[in-house]
Amino acid sequence: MERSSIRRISIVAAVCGILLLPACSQDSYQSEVALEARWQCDVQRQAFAELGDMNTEFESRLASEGITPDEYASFRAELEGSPQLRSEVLEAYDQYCVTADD
Amino acid sequence: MTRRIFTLVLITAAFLSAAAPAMAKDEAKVKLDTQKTATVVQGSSAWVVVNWRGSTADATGFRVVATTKAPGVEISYPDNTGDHTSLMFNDVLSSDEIDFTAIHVDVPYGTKNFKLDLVATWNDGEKDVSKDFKVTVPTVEYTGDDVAISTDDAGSVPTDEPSWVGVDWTGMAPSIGDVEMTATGPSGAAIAYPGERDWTSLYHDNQLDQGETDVARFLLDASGLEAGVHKFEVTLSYSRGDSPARTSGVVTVHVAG
Repeated sequence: MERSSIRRISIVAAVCGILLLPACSQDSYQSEVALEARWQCDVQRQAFAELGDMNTEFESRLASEGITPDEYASFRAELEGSPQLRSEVLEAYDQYCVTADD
Repeated sequence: MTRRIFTLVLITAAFLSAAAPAMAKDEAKVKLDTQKTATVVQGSSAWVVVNWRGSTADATGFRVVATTKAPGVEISYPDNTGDHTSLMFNDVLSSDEIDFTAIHVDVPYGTKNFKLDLVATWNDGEKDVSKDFKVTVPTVEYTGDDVAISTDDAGSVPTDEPSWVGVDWTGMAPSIGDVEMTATGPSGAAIAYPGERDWTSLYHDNQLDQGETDVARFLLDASGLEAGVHKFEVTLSYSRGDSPARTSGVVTVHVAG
């Protein structure tokens, strides 16, 4: 194979890798996206006697979804830097909240 | 070759013209996503939550101050923000981000649905922005008993020396305060209260939170009573918000022979 062909293939592979990597990382947060969307919608519908009750409720949701606090923290960190991930949460939030409102 | 360059220029121009409006309006905008908070029981206090939605760009230093015209309603914020509330995770609302602020409201009895006036401020990357929003806080009347007596049998007392008789009370309604209890018994029962008052109060303080049980005690000199079971009527007077109220119950006391 010619040297230029190898170089071309390498560039194509690198570009594909760059494009696919974020997609893979987004997919790995599917549970967190669903949890975040539901939590953000549901929390406004509850009144809490203490602020700590809010944390307790959220921790309970994390546990029931099998998401550890570290995994959630990692998701939040990713969320801050990822417009795509925020869009996914927003879309899930809109769908869930509209459904829940019906 | 010239044709290729011309095509490339056309594509680039088309892309830039499509992107231009978005880039020109690249300032942080914020939308209140909650029109109505959770319902708060009249006479109680609670943390309510409002959701915010970011668009276009980061709104940094996001903070919210709430006021209301509803008489007697008091507003407060989380300890770590003090005179305002901010977002749950940080003070930045990024584009397409949903996040919420928590506001504490203390709602007196008789308060109907009321509005919170919210002033949100943030920096849009170039300047500070301030915008007013409104959200409704629905309220509901408390229904049910204010307090419940939790003691039927107050135990036994001797006849040879005065003994304390305890009666447990449980708070059911919000904001029960100024609790005072008196007791009346059969002829021959000598009843006294702490501090030579003509009433007794609860052990911890004179308030009953919702779900809290506390004991009120009176001193019974049973030397004038016959051995056996005797009934005592206990009356609890208290305030429910600003209104006075009272309830009564009966406890049995065993006088030892």
